[in-house]
Amino acid sequence: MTVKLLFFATILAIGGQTYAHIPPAKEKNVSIPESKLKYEFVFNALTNRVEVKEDLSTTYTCNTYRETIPIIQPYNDLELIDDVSFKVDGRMPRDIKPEFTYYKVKDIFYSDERICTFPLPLDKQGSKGVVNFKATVLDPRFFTSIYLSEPYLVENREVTIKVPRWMHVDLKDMNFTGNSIQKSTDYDEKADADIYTYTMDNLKPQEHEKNSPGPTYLYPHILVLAKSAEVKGNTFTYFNTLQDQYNWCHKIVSTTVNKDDIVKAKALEITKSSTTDMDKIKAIFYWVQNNIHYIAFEDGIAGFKPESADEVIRKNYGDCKGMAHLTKALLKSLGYDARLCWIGTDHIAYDYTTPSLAVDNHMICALIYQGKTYFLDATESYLGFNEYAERIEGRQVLIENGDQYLLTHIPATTAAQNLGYEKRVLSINGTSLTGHVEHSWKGEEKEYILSGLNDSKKDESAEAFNKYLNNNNNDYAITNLSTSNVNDFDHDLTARYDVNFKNGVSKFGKDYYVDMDFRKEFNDYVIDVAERQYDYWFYYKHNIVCETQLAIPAGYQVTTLPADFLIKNNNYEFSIQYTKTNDNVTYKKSLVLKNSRVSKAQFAQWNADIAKLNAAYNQQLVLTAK
Amino acid sequence: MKKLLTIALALLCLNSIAFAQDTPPDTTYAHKAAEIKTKIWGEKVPEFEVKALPASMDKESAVIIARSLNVELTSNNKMKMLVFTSSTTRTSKISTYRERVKINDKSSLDAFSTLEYQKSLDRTRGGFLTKFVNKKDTYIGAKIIKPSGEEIMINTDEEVLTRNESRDKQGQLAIPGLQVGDILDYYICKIELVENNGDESLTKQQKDENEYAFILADEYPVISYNITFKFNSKINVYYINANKAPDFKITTETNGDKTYSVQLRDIPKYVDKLWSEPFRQYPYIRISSSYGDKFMNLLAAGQLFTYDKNAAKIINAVKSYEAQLAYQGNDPVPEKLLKRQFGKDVKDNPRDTLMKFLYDALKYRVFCYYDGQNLDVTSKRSLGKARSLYCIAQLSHMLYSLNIEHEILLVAPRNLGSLDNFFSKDDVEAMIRVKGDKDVYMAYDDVFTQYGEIPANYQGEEAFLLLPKNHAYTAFTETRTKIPVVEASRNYIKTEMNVSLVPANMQKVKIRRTVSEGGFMRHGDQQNLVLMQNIDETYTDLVGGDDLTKRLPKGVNADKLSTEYQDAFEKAKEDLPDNFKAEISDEFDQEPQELTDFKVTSNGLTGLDPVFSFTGTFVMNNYIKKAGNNYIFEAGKLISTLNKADEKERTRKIDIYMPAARTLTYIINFTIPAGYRVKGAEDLNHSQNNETGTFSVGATVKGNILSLQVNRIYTHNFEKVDNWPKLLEIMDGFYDFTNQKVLLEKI
Repeated sequence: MTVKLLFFATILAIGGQTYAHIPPAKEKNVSIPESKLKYEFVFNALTNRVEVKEDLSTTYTCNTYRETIPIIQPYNDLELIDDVSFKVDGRMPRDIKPEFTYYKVKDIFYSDERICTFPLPLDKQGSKGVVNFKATVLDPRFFTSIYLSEPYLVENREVTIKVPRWMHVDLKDMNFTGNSIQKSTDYDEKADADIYTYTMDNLKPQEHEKNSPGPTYLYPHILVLAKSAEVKGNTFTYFNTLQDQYNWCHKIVSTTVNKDDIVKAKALEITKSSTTDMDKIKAIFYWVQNNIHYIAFEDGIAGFKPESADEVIRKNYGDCKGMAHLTKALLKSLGYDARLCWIGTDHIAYDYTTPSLAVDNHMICALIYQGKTYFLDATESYLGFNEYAERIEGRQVLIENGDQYLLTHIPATTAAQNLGYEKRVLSINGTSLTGHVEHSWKGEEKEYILSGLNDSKKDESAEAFNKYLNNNNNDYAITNLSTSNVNDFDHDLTARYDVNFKNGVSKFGKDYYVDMDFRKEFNDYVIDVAERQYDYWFYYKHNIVCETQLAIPAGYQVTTLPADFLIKNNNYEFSIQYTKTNDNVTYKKSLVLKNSRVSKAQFAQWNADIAKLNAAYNQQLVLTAK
Repeated sequence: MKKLLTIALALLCLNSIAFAQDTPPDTTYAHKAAEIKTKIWGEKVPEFEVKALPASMDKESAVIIARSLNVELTSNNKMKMLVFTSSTTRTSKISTYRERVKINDKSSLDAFSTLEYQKSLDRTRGGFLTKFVNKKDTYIGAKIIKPSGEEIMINTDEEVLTRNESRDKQGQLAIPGLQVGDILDYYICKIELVENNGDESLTKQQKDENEYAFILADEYPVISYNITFKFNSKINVYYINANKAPDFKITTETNGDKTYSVQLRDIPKYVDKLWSEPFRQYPYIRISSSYGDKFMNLLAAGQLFTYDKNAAKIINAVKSYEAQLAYQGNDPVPEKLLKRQFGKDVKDNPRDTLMKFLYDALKYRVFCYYDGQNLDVTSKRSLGKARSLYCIAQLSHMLYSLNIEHEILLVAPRNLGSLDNFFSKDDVEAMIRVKGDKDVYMAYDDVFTQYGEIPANYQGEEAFLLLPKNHAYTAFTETRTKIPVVEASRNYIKTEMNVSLVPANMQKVKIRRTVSEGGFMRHGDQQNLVLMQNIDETYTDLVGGDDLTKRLPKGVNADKLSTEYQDAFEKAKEDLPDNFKAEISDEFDQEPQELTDFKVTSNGLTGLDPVFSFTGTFVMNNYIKKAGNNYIFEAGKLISTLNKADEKERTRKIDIYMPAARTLTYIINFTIPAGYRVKGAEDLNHSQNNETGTFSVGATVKGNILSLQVNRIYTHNFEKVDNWPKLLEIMDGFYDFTNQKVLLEKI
């Protein structure tokens, strides 16, 4: 599934700091022996605004062998680079000039975020490359965080933030625990400013691991909350309260003007076959899901401003803002109470208790209907109405409400939303298992399957689906496959087929040995505790239920019925049950992740439980000739 | 002086006139874009008017209704005032690519919904009289044809620039309004103007951009594809139409300009098949050109092609290589090592001894001398390949200096076009053959290629054989020969596994595994498991090489750099445990647990230790199933988790290019746990043999050991498609075995 997030938060999360590409964990030839990052709030009388001056100096050294590292400093229309300089071993490298260019990132078609980049050649072991940037942030709202660690070991770093007393800022220490970071405050009487100094040593390098929480959860950083300023007779209000943030955001979205006739005509066209309100609402939501191609545009302040609904209709593509705005406009044109919502996905550790542009990264639509609020996120291409993706479920959401705002939460989901159910009715035929299979998938499990089908080429999707169903085992021959309508996201996805599983049974003498589980989900989900640095997050709360009913062949009896198996705790529940009747043995497996997150502290228990699950998987049913 | 000045002024005037004539009309980008748009959309090409397709094509993800590529290339020579008056080539190139595609699903909608292009690039160098123009502008256009027939012209001003420098603009356009069911018709027109000092001064990128390859199999079915190249008379054109690809129709205008055109119809989809080589099995066309007036031809003798698509192309390449042989200077390092090793009376030594030494000395020179720039000595470095044409020229000179007769072979590797479809010098590799009771081959491929080893992709291929007359490289006899195929027994992997149940958990097995690999089958694992440091030390010892400090570039602080390399060698060792794990994971399709005692026991680098071997002990899940009081041992799965060929794979219409003839042997000794006996071992025995290969299993139980010997042999490196069913028999036999189990029955 494509990650569909507003881009601005990604950049803001990195802050205004220089960063380099993140090398693999073991590639730590380079470290940072010294760094001084200075930030100062200043009043610019010419422009009559408060700005943040940045003076960033970082020294890189290669400890083992020479290496050239890329230096990257982001900037944009609101954060300007005033000066860049660099030296290696006291000299400016010849023929290297900083390049100022657009920043390309996967999944973002276009962003006005730019980078200043150049290679820093650390020419010999022990070379020291000193990089200095001077930058100005033109609006304190955009100065959201200072990240303290780097992809390299930071041996020593000092961060100072000079805050004149006319400037009101909250500085929040995030993820400091476990790191050697000292904080002190001084008062500069002459400047009438508080100087906050953070000194730190031996900060662990940032690592990239799959399925890990976002950087706001992992890396030590200072969250900068610009509240207000009173300077030289001016009063500036930034995000003193959430209302301030709402006002700012709402003002921007309010400038988007739709051509209502176009929107209305489209809404009527979409709903022409719908009769009830709910049919119409769903038709609108599913039309946007199905017809608006997600392409992310993030352009300056437009990173916060949705494109007009009629333009999204014309283009047939849009980003999350455009899709949310279109959903809202279509619904409103039919008289429904639809609103825009700002939300931070679970990629972000904060919520609106800390008003900041770093808090949210996504936009969706809310529908208030008959006293109930539904949230519509059309970027989730295959989720049904009132189903919520893991990345937004339970998250705080800011809903537009005229001059005021509504603050609530997306409904929390349980694993029940994502049920993947399989029922197999089988009989033994020689050493094959033959029979009939039925599947149904809900929620994110359904979305996973439909994404796979739609990402495949039309002429290859049937084969891809077959390979998914047969677990890439060509001895598991599937025939007479039929599915429910794959374009109907409002209902469960279902599939049914006949199966002939060659070698599904082992026969030794008078005995049949039957492996009742064909898929063995999670059997290889062992977490490498020695290597893994961060918590493991599944994409969603899995909920897998599988029943296999096996007919006992005439003349045979069950001589070994494997023991039942159960692991149950607050985070997950794995169970396997065997039931025998006169004619059948039924195997029922249920794997439920009640919590999609496995914390580091739980790794050992998780691994032990996976080992037990494996042991249960490796049990065989034995049928013996009477 | 006055005379010189007059000539200079005359040339200046000529230049000015030339500039004035050649300077394009003063049009803005927008004006030019509008002009191109009018021209392209105004052309009524029937293939690009099609709006409906047969219903049978609805099942395709997308259908290319029509595609065209039109290239117009004009090169002229002109004199330019530099420090000295100089000849300059001015090339104008206009290429227009147009495609009309029916979008049938979201996958193709995603693929065609955006266009990315280099909108403009100006790499003009110098200024005033010494200016060399190098400009490229790209113009795009698109329209959508809705199922109703309505045409919607796309406003290309909706593009965004992802680079927006004055001399470098990159654009992107998301096609607005495009939906599944639509037809997208778009074009990309590039206009380039380049001045340079002839072909030799072109960058590789510029040369590559002048070469076109068309494989006549596509991601989507293509109904119509028209390719047209128009060259002015001063351009030499070279092309091939290989594997029964249609030929160009060539027309010549009165001024000598030539047009090459071909109309292709109903190009099928490319189907990725196991063991296939596209350049050998699909029709394809390659075309390139070079500017060559008489003056330039003189400069680039032997390098330029003239149009003769029957034989001259190969002859030209051969002549070019012969020229390289004649003029290439000797590398002093191997000669120095030879002297150091054998002294003055070097020629008194046996021929084989000298050949081996020279081969290894040159290999040492190629792989164990360091540039001081790239200190990555991890396994990535082992992916590097030697430049065989250069190496063989060197080796040839050294062999002749020792009066060792040999032949030089120019071979077309099987992953590229055949010798008959030779196109450029990059299409051949060189090798040496020394005739004798047993012919000896010497090739330079990767760092693990040994003396006497023929790289697998040369085997069975035709080669051009060059024999210099009188060792002088001034005249050669030229014939053709065929490279032999190394028999399966010499390309092998032998895996020995001692397997026992883990007492504390009888559902796990402990495996002590020793793997020995020879010939072609060594290379993949060696790349990941043999440290560069070991390669360096082995070859330094073998050829009496110099200390690392003497193998670094001149002008560097050798002691410091050497220390850095030594540190880098040490650092590279950190990857080894992960590389061992990855090798086991690949082989067993699951991660090993408790990996211990892993090590390379023989690096397999030289004739002294030709076999590569390694070992390791680890624990694995999923091979033992509990069944009441008994256990089931999935013996077959221990060897492979290979999937069975599916119905689609069973239908094959093209020949089979396997990587090599090869043998895989597994010897498994499974310790039967105390208190259990094995049932079903006799059912594991299997023997299958046909002309394509062998698969056999021998199973015995002696005491508490169940022994299995499994042999899988692919006899040839190539099979005709008619033999596919026989090959499938062998593969199926093996697959069936991988599903076999034995019962450990409680006594």
